[in-house]
Amino acid sequence: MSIEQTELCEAARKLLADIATMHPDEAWRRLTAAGWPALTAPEPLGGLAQNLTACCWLYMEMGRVLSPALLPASLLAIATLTACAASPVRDAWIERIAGGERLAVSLRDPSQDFAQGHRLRAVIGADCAGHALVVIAGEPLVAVVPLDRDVLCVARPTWDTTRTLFDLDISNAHFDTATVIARGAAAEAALDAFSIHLHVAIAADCVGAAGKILDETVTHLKNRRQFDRPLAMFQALKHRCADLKTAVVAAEALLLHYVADIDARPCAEGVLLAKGAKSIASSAFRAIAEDAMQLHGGMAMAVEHPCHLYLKRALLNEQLASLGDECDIAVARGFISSLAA
Amino acid sequence: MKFEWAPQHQAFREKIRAFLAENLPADWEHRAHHGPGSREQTEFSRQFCGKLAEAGLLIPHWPIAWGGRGMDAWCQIILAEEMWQAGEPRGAQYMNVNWIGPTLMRYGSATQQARYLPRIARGDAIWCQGFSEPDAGSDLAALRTRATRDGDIYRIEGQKIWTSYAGLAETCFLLARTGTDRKRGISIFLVPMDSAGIEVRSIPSLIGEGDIHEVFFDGTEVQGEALLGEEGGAWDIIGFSLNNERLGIPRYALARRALGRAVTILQSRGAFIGEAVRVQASRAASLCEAARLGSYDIVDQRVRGVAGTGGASAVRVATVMAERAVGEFVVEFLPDSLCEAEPLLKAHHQRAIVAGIASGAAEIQLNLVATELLGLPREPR
Repeated sequence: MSIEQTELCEAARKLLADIATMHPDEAWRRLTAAGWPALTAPEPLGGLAQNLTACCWLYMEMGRVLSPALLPASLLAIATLTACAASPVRDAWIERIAGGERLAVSLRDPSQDFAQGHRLRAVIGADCAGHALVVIAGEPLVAVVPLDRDVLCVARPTWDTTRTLFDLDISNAHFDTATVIARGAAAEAALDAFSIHLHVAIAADCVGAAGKILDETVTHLKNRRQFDRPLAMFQALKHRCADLKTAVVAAEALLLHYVADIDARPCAEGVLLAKGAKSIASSAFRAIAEDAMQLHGGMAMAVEHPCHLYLKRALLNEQLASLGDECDIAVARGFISSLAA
Repeated sequence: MKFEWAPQHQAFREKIRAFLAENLPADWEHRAHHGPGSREQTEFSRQFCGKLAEAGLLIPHWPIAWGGRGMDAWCQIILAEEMWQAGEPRGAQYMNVNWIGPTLMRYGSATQQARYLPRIARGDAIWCQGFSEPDAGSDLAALRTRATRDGDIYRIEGQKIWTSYAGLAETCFLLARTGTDRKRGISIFLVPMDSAGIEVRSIPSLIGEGDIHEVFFDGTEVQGEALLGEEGGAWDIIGFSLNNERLGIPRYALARRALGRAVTILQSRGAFIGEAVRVQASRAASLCEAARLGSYDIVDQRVRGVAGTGGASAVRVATVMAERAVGEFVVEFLPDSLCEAEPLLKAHHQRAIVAGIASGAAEIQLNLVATELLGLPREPR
């Protein structure tokens, strides 16, 4: 772990603890003051020009505390817009987002939702943003449209309550020079950038949250005494924890190495790498969250214990970006074509 | 060996189904989803069990002397399957008819039997089971709630936790310490829940409203006649009780029904296509079937009077596996049903999550499989 990572993670952990009980608007002001939405924007546009690895660290910290903060929306938008050709409209948006303006952004991969037509699913930020980032795969198209009466917004109930999701119907939204940032071949790279950032964001959230709930579980097993000894003394339980730890370590290693690859040389395989990391991380998180419930025993059934919150976030994370199967199929196709090459 | 139902068993199942069709309200599925511990369902169970009793379907497996019809263990499991599959409209009362009643028949005094059995047989009694404590879960013998004899009465001090139905029960089947020996120092008391010094707090839980509670006993006084059996005799008595309940609830029946519902929904959406969804559905169905047939082996042993060999524990674990497989299927292929739209699937999924916790940790069953079925040595104590 480099010093920068230790410092960034410690600062992030402290800030996230500080804002945990704040109103979302106040919490966002604090994150903005700390430069979080500006993390990846180019320096000339008011950004800190950090890479995807740095985002990963923050997302992992956010996952640990199941943070509801809308950082992924801002950083996704900036990643997408930065991959579009420079224009006054684009630059203005990057500056506004880096400066803390919130945007509504879908957490589903647009290429998976192509069949849904002009509908953005699993959108975060629609309750507080004035505009939505639109990324459409079929056409392809990147735009920022106002959330006015032409956009139908429906809250989407989820079992997980650590995030609030919406569905947006954008079939009546206006796509013109004021809103469209890139279209056609010029939007292809932006589409990839969106997809990479999204899968990495969810994967990192999974790795952070899985590590945290496993830590909690291990602490519980050390403290909880039955049969005159801590539960942690039972070898069967130790092995289960060791298996779970292995899954976290593997998922984290895969994610951080893939992200380092992507940072080093942005390439066409980036999307596949991100999908591979997401599939492994989200299935590990779910398995860990499920077993954490079992290892906590009766306590896990009580709403006041956070165990169930991790399970719910894990189940939702599986549905976000691309499903595990969708990721695996994409990775498999890439693997097979690499054999042919 | 091909398993087939005898005509009288098939007829018995049909009778229960007809009764359910007639007596469950149209919106039952939405009510049932609040869980068997909810006030609404507990109140409903009083009327429902009254009608069941009138129809001779509440305690058919009880001896004729106690108002039952002396039917065999096959009828008991058919009854349990149909009821659990229907969302357990008997609410808390399934415990009474399955093991509290039979335990009172075996160990209760004439006064206790006269006081409690007729009400259970009428379908009008709510009991709770005061077993687990904050520091005595899987390790039940570590319990510390104490009952101290003082002349004709016992004075009870301590705390129970995860107690189902405690908020509405009239009587608690309570385990309390009367001596220092780990197991021989535990006694059973039948404690009226309206006694002074009892406080019940609901624990908001994942699995339904009013489902689990903490119960505090602060100098609660009960008459000497509240003691069930002999002082220090609890371990043998609950051994008998749990043996009566060896199979536990036939949860595979509801899991199978939830799976059927999930597949029907997927078919109606044109989404039951492709290998993955079909393979997983078949696997879950097979696990439900394995748990069911395994349970029947245990019933068969009991009917034939053959001693159990730990197989019941394996079947309990198999049932947990079946429930989890169906829960997993729902999560994978119908994730939107975890919200309000499909109460049956939502409720099943939540129950699948706690399947290995709620009626005793699955790990304890695994210990029994290891020691009793495989003959492996016990963990050193």
